[in-house]
Amino acid sequence: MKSLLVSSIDEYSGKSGIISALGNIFVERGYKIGYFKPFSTFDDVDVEVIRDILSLKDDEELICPIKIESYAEFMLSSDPVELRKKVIDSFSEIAKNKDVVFIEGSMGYFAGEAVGLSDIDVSSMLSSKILMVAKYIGDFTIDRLLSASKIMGDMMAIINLVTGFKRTYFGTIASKILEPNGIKLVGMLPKDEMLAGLTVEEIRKALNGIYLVEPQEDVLIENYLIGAMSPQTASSYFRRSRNSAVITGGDRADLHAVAIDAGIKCLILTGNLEPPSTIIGLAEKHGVPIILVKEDTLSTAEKLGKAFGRVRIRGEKKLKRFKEIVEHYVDIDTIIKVLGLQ
Amino acid sequence: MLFDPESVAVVGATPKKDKVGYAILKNLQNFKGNVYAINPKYKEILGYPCYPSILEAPKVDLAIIVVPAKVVNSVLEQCGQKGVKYAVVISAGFKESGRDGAKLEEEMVKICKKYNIKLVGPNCLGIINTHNGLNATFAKTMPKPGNIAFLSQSGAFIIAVMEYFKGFDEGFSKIVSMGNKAVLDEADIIEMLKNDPFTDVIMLYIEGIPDGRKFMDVAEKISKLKPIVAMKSGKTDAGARAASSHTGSIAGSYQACLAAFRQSGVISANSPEDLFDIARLFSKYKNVEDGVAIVTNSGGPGVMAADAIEEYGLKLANFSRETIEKLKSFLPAGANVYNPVDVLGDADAERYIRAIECVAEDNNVGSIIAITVPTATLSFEEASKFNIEKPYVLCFMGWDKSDFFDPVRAVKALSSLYRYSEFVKRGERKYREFAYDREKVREAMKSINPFDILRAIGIPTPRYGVAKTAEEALSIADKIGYPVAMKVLGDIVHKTDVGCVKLNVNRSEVKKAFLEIIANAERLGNVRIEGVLIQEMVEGGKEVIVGMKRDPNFGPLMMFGLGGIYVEVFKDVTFRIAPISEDEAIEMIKEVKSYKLLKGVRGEKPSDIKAIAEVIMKLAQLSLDFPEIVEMEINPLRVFEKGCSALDFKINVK
Repeated sequence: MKSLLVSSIDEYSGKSGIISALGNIFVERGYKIGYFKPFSTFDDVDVEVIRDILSLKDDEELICPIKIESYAEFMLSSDPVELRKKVIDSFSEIAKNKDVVFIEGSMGYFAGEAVGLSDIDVSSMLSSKILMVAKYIGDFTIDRLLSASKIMGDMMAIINLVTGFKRTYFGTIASKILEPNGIKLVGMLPKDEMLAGLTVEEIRKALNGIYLVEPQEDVLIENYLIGAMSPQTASSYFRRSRNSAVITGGDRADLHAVAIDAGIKCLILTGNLEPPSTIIGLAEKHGVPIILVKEDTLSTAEKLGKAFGRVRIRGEKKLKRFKEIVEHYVDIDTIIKVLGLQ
Repeated sequence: MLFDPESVAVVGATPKKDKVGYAILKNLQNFKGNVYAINPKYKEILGYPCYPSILEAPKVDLAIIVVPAKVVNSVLEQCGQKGVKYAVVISAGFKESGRDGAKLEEEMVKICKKYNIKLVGPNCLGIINTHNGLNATFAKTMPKPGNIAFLSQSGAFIIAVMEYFKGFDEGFSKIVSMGNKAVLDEADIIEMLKNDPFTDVIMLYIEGIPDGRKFMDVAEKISKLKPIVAMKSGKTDAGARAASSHTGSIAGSYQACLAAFRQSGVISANSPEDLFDIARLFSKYKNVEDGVAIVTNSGGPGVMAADAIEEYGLKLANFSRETIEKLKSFLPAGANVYNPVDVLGDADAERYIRAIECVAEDNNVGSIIAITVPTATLSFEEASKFNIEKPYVLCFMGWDKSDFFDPVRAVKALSSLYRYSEFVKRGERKYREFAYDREKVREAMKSINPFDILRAIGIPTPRYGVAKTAEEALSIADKIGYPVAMKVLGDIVHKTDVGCVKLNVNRSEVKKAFLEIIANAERLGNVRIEGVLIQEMVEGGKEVIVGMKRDPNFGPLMMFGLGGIYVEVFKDVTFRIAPISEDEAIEMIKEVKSYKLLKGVRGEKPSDIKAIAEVIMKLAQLSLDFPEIVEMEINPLRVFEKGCSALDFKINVK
């Protein structure tokens, strides 16, 4: 049995998505896989979701033995020796009859340090290989990777959300800087608009709105625009974007019509102002959902912006897409080789 | 058959005098054909036999439906079963009233398709044929017979216009209130009027043309035979907004509509007054020769007319020597025998009429503007009794029987007649088909660099390459030669404003420029940066813009203008709908006010107009071949004495 700790530099770097994709790919290649997330918070639903995606049989309590509510309280009350024992016991149970177990790290590789449960501790405790996920937020991301490897030792790495010309640079940086420092770059994942999308229902929930026209198909909204200009200007602006929602006042019938024509996928009407019934008819005809919200346009946009920043890879469409991306951009064979699998 | 049925049934007829079902039946009293009332409660209404349903009535050609919206579709279903081929639905409560109404209307369209019923409305005033007494409307009056057919999207406007025309003692051939245009739209009805011997002019009031292409095809065909004068409202944002919430339809741009009118020979009117002036003139004349003569008994209005003639692009006729001599022979010494002819204020009707008839004989005169003011010596009635065959407009200022009071309005209407005459003479539009590799374009659309598309359709561009690192930038620039232009490739708008464009870059500055451009782009935050485009610097020439924006109603709307301030500040641009013939492309270029700059000022050599025209035509063809292109723009296109080069290109593909 081999184990791979998927750790990350920061929160929301894409660990769960990568584990789901890798897990499926490994299953396809004939490996028996397991999933383990030793240390997590009470409201974390990843465990349940990934267990489901990978069709695993192990109990959730076994997969995630330590779930905490208040970390401040936990730091004072927990016994590090007990905790380590619990982690090792659960892991041994999970590892039975498996070829490889994917271990998901916590919020960042250092989280859990105070109680001896950081990714740094876990990797040495369970003698796992490390796959570090770094979300690209600027060129200094490279330094953060180097610091991590200074503490944790040799590792593989995936840099997430790298697009455009930077990929060319990073290719060279991988061989000139990362490799000599014990970091094997096994993949750079590009930004993908669809993955960053939300379903109309997710948007409705995030905005606490109601449907004036319900969604007819399962579309992913990839971004949002604010409609506050003249219809002629808006038309170009709306058309330029793909799979977008438009946030605008309920009293701007001209913009609603233009947005529907421009192929907008969802209308979010603010100020609790219902549009003329002709617009509702038009939206129904074109299958464009309309969400009515109470807040003003600016607050709605802020709320939605936050929701977009925390998008998860859920739902069949996204999972399929992400698996394709991982297959295409991640060097799976190297991971298998490093793990020592056949 | 819509206008000439042998028998008409009014479904929803009633003897209750305050109801629409009563008014319509009453208006049918002069109809030369059979009229049946349909209402299960009565045996007879207003002397017409009444049947419980249309199924029980004798043969019906046209059904006028005035029952509540909810029952309209079941009536139509019965019409279908009975084989009624034409219907007018007066009832409201359809698309205009919201979601439930819209559903009813969709259902209505399905029934009409199933039975091939040609339907006017719903939500309309009805239709009129003055020549057989068919008044299937609930209007209070019936206009007198005339040769103008009037189609209107607004029923209320029809009632107003009928009253207004009564004032000039003029009438109509047909009137159609189109309502929601669920089945028959303006194009269908115009087509029906093609062979109508009673209709010489088609007058149109519309708020939107959902199927713009169909309209253009039909209008282009018919307008050569019968002039079509149209007024489209919703030209401003405020107007468009009102139209959108009023009709629940998507407003295309006003420019697109104007371009479509122009290309298909439809005469566009700016205001209701304009619409009537032009239509009334066309009801008398369809053709006019060059050269306008003005004959007046007062200098001032003559000058006003002369000014307007120049302003509206018409030409004052140059009289022949004979005419001048003849005028001299009977006009007093102080009179002006040149155009505008001033017969002087003391003229009587006889002198005035002689002058008019004299200039009308001149071969250089195509039309006449007859202007008088009431003097002690001249009576309007008498002076109007001249006898000429050439088109004229009467501007007898202060007379209630005059065509116009205002000479400027008279000239404006006359100018439409001239434009129409030119259109009729115009040959078939010929389109050039450019051969290019569609697959290559398709490939190029996936590429990060839009210039590949231009190259694929053969629009000249400067030499270029895409660099992903500073090192690459240098080697590309070395190949192109110095100096070079550099700009970021990515989803960044207003690249120049954010420091992502560098011009005139020399070898020593290339790497630094690359890094600066990238750094400036990255500073913007959430943007996609694909690399840096390195381009040959192109010097000289003039900058123009060629663009396309897909209109929801008419399709690709092509745009041309001179670059920089001419577009941004002066909005000096012209539009046409694709496809575009070479003549039209050249017309577009010549139409902008700043065209003089392209022709060359102060000894400059003229720019290559044909090269620009070719670019316009190529982009037009590209936008027809690839409907997924939503908009694109070459800005600037640099034009030289010979040839041109696209310096920047933006494209938005869905």
